[in-house]
Parts: sequence; structure tokens; C-alpha cells
Amino acid sequence: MHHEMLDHFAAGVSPIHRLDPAAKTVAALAVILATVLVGRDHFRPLIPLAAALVIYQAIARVPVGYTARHLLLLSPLVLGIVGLFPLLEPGRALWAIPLGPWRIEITQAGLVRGGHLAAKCVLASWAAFLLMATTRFQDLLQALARLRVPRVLVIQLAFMYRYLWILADEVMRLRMARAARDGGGGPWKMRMRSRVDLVGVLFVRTYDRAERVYWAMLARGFDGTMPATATAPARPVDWAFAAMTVAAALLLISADRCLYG
Amino acid sequence: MHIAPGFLSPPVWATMAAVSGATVAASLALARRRVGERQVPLMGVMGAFIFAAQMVNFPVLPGTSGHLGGGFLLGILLGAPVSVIVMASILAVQALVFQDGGVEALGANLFVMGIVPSLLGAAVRRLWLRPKQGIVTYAVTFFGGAVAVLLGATGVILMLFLSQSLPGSVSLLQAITVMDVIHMGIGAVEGAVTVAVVKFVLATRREAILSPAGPACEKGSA
Amino acid sequence: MAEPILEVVDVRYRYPTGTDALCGVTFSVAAGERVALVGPNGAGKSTLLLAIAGFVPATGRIRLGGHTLNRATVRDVRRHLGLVFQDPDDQLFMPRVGEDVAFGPATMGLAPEEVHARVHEALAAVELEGYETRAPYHLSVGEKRRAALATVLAMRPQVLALDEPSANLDPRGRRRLIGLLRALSTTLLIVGHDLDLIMDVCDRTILMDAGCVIADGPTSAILTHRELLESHGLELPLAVAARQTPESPR
Ligand SMILES: Nc1ncnc2c1ncn2[C@@H]1O[C@H](COP(=O)(O)OP(=O)(O)OP(=O)(O)O)[C@@H](O)[C@H]1O
Ligand SMILES: [Mg+2]
Repeated sequence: MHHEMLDHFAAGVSPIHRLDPAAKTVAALAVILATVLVGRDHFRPLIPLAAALVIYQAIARVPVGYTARHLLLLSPLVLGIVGLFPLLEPGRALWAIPLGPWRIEITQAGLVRGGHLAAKCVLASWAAFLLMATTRFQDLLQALARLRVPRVLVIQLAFMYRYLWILADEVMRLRMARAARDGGGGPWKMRMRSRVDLVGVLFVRTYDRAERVYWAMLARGFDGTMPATATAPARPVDWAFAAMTVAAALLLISADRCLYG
Repeated sequence: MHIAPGFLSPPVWATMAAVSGATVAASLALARRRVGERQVPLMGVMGAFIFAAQMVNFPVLPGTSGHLGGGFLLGILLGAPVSVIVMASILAVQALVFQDGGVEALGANLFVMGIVPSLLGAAVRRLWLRPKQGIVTYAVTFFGGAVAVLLGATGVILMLFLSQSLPGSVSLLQAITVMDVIHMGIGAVEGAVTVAVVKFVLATRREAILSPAGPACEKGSA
Repeated sequence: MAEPILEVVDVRYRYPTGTDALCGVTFSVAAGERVALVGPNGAGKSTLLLAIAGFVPATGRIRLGGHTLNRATVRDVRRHLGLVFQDPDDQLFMPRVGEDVAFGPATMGLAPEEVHARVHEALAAVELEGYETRAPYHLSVGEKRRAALATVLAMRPQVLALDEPSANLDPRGRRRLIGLLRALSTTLLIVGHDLDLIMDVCDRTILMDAGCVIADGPTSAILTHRELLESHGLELPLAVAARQTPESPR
């Protein structure tokens, strides 16, 4: 399943996997912010960003195919909007394609805008993906707690992740049970009905489960506060990695602002 | 409908992050007061529910399907504060783990897909708290769900427009019209499915879910 | 006899839906006893465990480890009762097994070193050494059950209450669990339909049906009483059946 795959690479043994998760999170955020802050239609600052990600991916030995498959899943909406730019952005027409009574023009400005948005989108997603591919989710949670994200939210994320796969399995089972009865076909109204029931059953079961989990917590002395878990302290190399990435990101953005005016 | 990374301009995403961050902070305080310590497992497990529920596809038109957003449904069943917090963690996981929506656009995405539907749901919740429901409740809920989706779609376009991330020859009005027309079917499904699911859930767990203090247990003992 | 560690007197509970789940249950358990709670589906066994832990507001009197259960003492009672729920996925709610086992001791306010020692000891007791950083969703059912057991063992409860501990276990997992339970020295209250496990682990058996105690006595007497068991929807344990009717066709 999907999560096995994520955890599989996240549990690797490269020097990058050993870096402190909080340091990696800070670095990833710096790279993402630098990417999205690159000025409109500026392509050159994106090159060092891409190079940094390539190096990171190589050191961490994340398979290229795995990354590519992930990035190809980017929302169709993104591709749609990006694809519309060359057609809809006004500017000097590079090609004109006659289409019956209309003429479709592909403009240079549109290609630049669309291409730039797509590149930024891919780079930022890639950075987030590399963080997840080299950090186990549980470690990420501890990192968030150390980075002063409110504890309630961190705990909430932990519970959600814990029960995600259990509920996903439950949906699969309910779906199979449904398919066994109606074969997934039937008139529209019936298909609609069976899916509504599925969501309803799932909600009720989840609600009851929340209750049982709460009892299990009370049975072990829960009083509203979750015990903090000990974490390994950050090493100098972790600090250095985070600081250098942040500095590089700042430098890049300053350079972008200055050089392009 | 997630806004991808790089599409919003810094003033837009920073403003939305501030607005959504403040709303989440307020929701945390309210949820703690209303739900108490029981909120910890409840919100977490409900987050997993929304994820799983989004795996279920509803047929919209032949060949297209949509899934539940969830914020509107949770707003009705659990109230706005819990719903906002649950949606915040879902969108955070979607952005980080599945790269669905930009990390910097988290505030913007939370606003249109979490906060607006949750507040609309919480407004409609009043109708469901009454002992009897009729056609008015169903109709209002249906339109509430549809409006939540359309408001979200409009909000996305508005933010893209303010960020100058729409193609230059497209006017704001045109973009909003196209986006809303595309989302009408999805909105209708959101409304209809929410009505049916809320009816289903309340038929089995009415007291537990709608009582102001939450489920009737742990009130004391022998 | 010494003062019982667990005392249940005339405990009654009706679910809000109107089901009478417990209709005046009375029994007591001495320290160190291993008691089984058997009965058909819906007899009220799980409800009884919930009542002892103070999760359902039953009437009557419940005393555990010197505390009479009421609103003020419910935390103390729970601290002395190690309740293992039927579904280990409800019990294991933390991201890692180690954190989960540490949850109880940590909420008790123990020092970090002590918590660490308890986690180690509890995981060793259920033969899950080295599982500290494993995520619960990657465990097999048997491992999950043992981890769930460890989460309460780490709190060193006076009474250990297990709801159907052997459900969904394969034969090897079951044997392992039996060995584990026999090695424990705490007072045990085991709810279950696995009469063979009960034969092996418990000295005493309480038979419940429709919210009432039907019989209470040595396991060897109750689980060999064919008429009694069959009139309450149960069957002789295989081991007993094999001994009583050696000539019966296989
Ligand atoms: N949450 C609930 N609400 C209403 N009735 C309930 C609830 N839980 C259990 N009951 C009813 O209470 C009775 C006792 O249930 P209980 O779960 O205690 O039985 P049990 O002996 O544990 O059965 P099993 O062997 O199937 O686990 C049953 O009739 C059951 O239907
Ligand atoms: Mg039971």
C-alpha cells in the first residue's frame, strides 16, 4: 500500500536520513519559500534550487522513478491552468492555429508565464516530497512539536495518521461488501444510495471508535495532557545543515530581487 | 481544488495564512472549552474519517464523479471549532505528505476548503438540533452544501486573480463563471450527500452527537 | 480469607437504549486469583468490565484495591486496573509502540528513567524487545495484542482485565499468550469464548448469561459441566470433550 512505500524510503540509512527531522523541516520550508518567492517569470534563480534538490535526492538515494511518479500525480487543475496560459495570455503570437471560425494563438508571454508557474510548482512539490521521503512521519511530528507548533495540533496529526490506514482499510472492506451486493453498477439512484450509506456507516463507526480510544486513554490515566516524548538532541551538523540552507535561500531571494531589479 | 505551490503572490498567501492561523487558534480555544479532553481522540480519528470518506466517489454526471469535501458535514455534526481543526490537519497532511496543495498556500486552502464550509455547516447545525426536521432543513442543508462549494471555487479564483496568476485575457468575471459552472455538479453532490449522511448518522446516534456535552458517558460511576 | 482485591456487589446497568446489560452481579476476587468470565454473546461480560473501570454509570458497589468506585476515586481505581480492550487498534493509539507503552507510566508522573525501565520490562514480558520504534499499523494481530498487553503491564496494575485476549490469534500466537498469562503473578480477570485457554490459565470461572451470574466455581468443575454449558450457549472445551467421550467419532 501507499503508506508502506512512503515509510519504506523514509526509513533509509543515508546521511540525510540521519539528519535531525526538525533541521530537515526547516531546510525544506526554506527551499519551498525561496521557490515561491522567486519573482514573476524569473527562470534563472530556479536553476540553483533544482540543482540543490537533485543533489539532496542523490545523497539520500531516493529512486528517481519514485519521485517522478509522485510529481506526475500533481493536480490536474494545475496542469489545466498551466496549459491555458499559452492560449489565453495576450502577447506576441508565436504560432496561430486556425480552427474553424476561430484562431488559436500561442503567445510567447503565455509560454513564459505558464512554464514559470509550472516550474515553481514542480520544484516546491519536489522539496516537500523529498522531506517526506527522507523523514518518517512520526519523526516529523516530533520535529513540529520542537518547532513550536501547538501540541494539540501535533497530537491531532498523530492520531489522524495512526487511524488513517485503519479507516482506509475499513472503506475498502465496506466497498467490497457493497460490490458483492450490487456489483458496483445499477441505476444512478441506487449507486448514490449505497455510497451515502457507506459514508454514514463509516462516520458512526469512527465516532464509536473515538469513544473507545478515549476510554482506552482514560484507563491508562489520561487527564487531558499528553506526555511529552523524549527526542534526540540536534547535533552541530544538524544546525549547520539547517542554517546553511536558510542562508542560501535568503541569498538566492536577495539576489533575485537585486539582479532583476 | 487545492491551490498548488507558486500560484499565490506573497501578500495573498501571507494574509490568508494569518487569517486562517487566527481562526485555528480561536477554534482550539473554543474546542477545549466545549469538548474538553475528549477532543483529543475525537478530532484525530475524525480527521482519518474525512480522509477515508474522500476515497468514496459519488457519480455526478455520466463519466464524472466527485467526493465529499467534508468541512460542511463536520460543521453540522461536530460544530465549527472541531471541524476547523480537523480540516486544518487534513490539509496540512495533504500538503506535506501527498503534495496536494502548496505548503505556503495552506492558509488559503484551509480558508476555502475548511473554514468557510465549517462555518456554513455550523450555521445549518441549528436546524438539525431541533427535535423534528422537515423539507426546510433538507433544502437549506442542500443549498448550504452547494453554496459552500461554489464559495470555495469563487474564493480560489479571486485569490488567483489578486495574485495575477490568471491569464491576462481572461476577466475575473469570466473565470469565476467558468469555475462555478464546473463546480455546480460537485456542489449539488456535496449538498445532497450531506443531507443523506446527516440523516443516516442522526438516525442511529442522535443523542450522543447532538447533545451539547457530547456522548453520554464518563459522567461518573457506581 | 484476606480482604478481596476486587469486590462487585449487586451491580446493575441498563443501556440508554433500554437493554438490561447487568442485572445484579455479585462476586469477589482475592489477590492472585485468575478468574475467567464466560457466557454467550450479549451476556454482559464486556459491560461488566466497563462498569468496573467506571466507564458506564452502573449502580451497586464496586471496590478495587481498597477504593470504592465513585466519581472521586475513579482515577485511582483505573490506575489499579489494567484494562485491555477487545480491539488492540483502540488500545494502541500512539505513533510508536514504545511511546504507547510509555503512555501509562508517563501519565502516572514517573521519572523518565523509570518510564524507560518500565517500557523495557513490559516489552520484554510480552517478548517484543526492540519494538519500541515500530509503528502499530505495521504489526501483526498477535504482535498488536501483545503490545496492547504491554501497555497495561507497564503500569503494574493490581488487577489485569482482558477482553477476549485470544480473538483472531493463530494457534502459535495463542500458545504464546497462554504461556505469557501463566507467567504473570497479578490477579487476572479474563473475558472470553476461548474455553481451552481458560482451562489452561484460570483456576476459577464465573458463568454469566443475560446480565446475571449463573455459576461461580473452580474452572475444572464448571467447564466440565456439559448441561450447564450447553444450556447457556457454550460448548465443552475441546480438551474436556476429548477426554469425556474418547470413543466419539472425529
Ligand atoms: N453501547 C451499547 N448500547 C446499547 N446496548 C448495548 C451497548 N453495548 C452493549 N449493549 C447490549 O448490552 C448487552 C450486553 O453486551 P456486552 O457487550 O456486555 O456482551 P458480551 O457478554 O461482552 O458479549 P460478547 O461475547 O458478544 O462480547 C447486549 O445485549 C448488547 O446488545
Ligand atoms: Mg464483549
